[in-house]
Amino acid sequence: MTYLLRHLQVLFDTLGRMWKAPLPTLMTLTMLGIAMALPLVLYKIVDSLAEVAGQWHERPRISLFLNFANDRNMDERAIAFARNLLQMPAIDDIEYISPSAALAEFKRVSGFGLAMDNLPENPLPPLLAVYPYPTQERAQLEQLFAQLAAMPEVASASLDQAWLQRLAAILALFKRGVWMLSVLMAVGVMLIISNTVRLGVVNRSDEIEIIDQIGGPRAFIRRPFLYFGALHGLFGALFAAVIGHAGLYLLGKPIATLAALYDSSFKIGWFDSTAIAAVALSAAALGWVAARITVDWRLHRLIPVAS
Amino acid sequence: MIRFSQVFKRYPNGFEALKNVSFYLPSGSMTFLTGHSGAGKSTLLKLITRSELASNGQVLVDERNLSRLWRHQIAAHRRAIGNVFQEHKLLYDRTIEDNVALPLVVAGLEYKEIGRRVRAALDKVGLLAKAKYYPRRLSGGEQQRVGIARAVVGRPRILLADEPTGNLDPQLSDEIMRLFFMFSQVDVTVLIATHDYRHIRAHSAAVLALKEGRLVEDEATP
Repeated sequence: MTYLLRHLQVLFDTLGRMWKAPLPTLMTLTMLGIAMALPLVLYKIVDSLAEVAGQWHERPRISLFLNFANDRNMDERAIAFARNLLQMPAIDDIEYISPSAALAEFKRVSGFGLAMDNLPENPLPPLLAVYPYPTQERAQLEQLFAQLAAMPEVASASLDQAWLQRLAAILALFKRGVWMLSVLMAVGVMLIISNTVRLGVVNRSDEIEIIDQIGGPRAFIRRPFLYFGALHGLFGALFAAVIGHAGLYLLGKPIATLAALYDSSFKIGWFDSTAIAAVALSAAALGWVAARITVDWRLHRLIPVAS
Repeated sequence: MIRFSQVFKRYPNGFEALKNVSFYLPSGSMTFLTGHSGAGKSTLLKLITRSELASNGQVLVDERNLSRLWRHQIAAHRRAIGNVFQEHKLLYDRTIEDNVALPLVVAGLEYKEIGRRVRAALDKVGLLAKAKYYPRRLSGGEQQRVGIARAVVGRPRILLADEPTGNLDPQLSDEIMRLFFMFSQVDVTVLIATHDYRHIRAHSAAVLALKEGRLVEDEATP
């Protein structure tokens, strides 16, 4: 209980110190906010693009129209054929779309419901949607496609949405870029916090030496600085959320205009609260770690243990 | 108790601050440590608080060999020692009572207990009325008494003082010395570094006299 109270006291004492020096605190937090806002905004843009891309089939798909349309056992034959195909190592999954299912879907999407009802029989062939493993190279994919198209059971085949594969590759590239940027910015955040903590230790060196002399454990001496670092990370992330939102707001109009030109209703949303919470917690953890490393290093010089 | 056995202290720059120092201070004893500046008084006190480590020989405090102390045990060792510093070493951004409370806060005592003990310690040095003041409002002598209150508030087994009466007028300094003497009466080992021979004569206390790092007169050894 006393221990918990102590921690609360240190927390409020640290908040008080930050509050009492508003200008330096504000400057540091803004610096941290800008550093974290950049990857945050880029991530949001890439993520929104990926979501649009994901509204189509993300994976490449090969459609096989089978040539046993008028067979009474066509469902069984199609499924058996699919089972055989699944033995091929390049194929991840196969979906069987029966003519009646395809017809229902077509009616629903096209709006030609009545016209279709007047057809004497279902004109659609049984269809196998083949999903190769997404890791396949383009050449391997085309080879597989040729192999499948040549099979006697297959009336015709089509390789769908190759351009989406390209988009996915580009997005993967951007995601990697954002990831790298985030790592760099995390290092930046740690350096900023480390420098701020170092100044704090220098400013309080008299106090630290006295506490060490009267028997204050290192954990006790370290604690306010760890809170200092973690709080800077936490508030820095909140600043980043505000700065990032401002950025997204400013980007929103031009993006909407651009999207309209592509007949798309593409739109970047705001950060969701879980994402902000996750970033805030990670930033707090980074601040804590940066503070810990810095304080240990400074204490080693300020109050060395004679040996 | 404090026991030095053939203690040498050499600093990395080659200066030999203590040479073959041996003495024994039993619990409840009061001893004065004398010598010119540079004679090794500060080094001797630092060896007791484990701020320095002997180059040779043994330093025992309450039967504990300080060279065998682990890093994480040093803080607890220092909490068992009350230390009155020459230059007060108060925190000037905290009130008198907060300064005196520091050793107890560090030790993790409960708030109620801290309040009680701090008031008792301040009462002993006659500063209870100024508990809420900041150190700068106090005279040098009063600040020294705050330092003494902080040293004794943790009920230490050992009490060290480095020139504790340097800034005080004779009457106050006699009072402080009486206070130290009282602590030795309740089984605390008291060691006071001082130039003031008046006190040494007034109290029938033992003397450790240092000259160029050697003990030149040691009335504490039986």
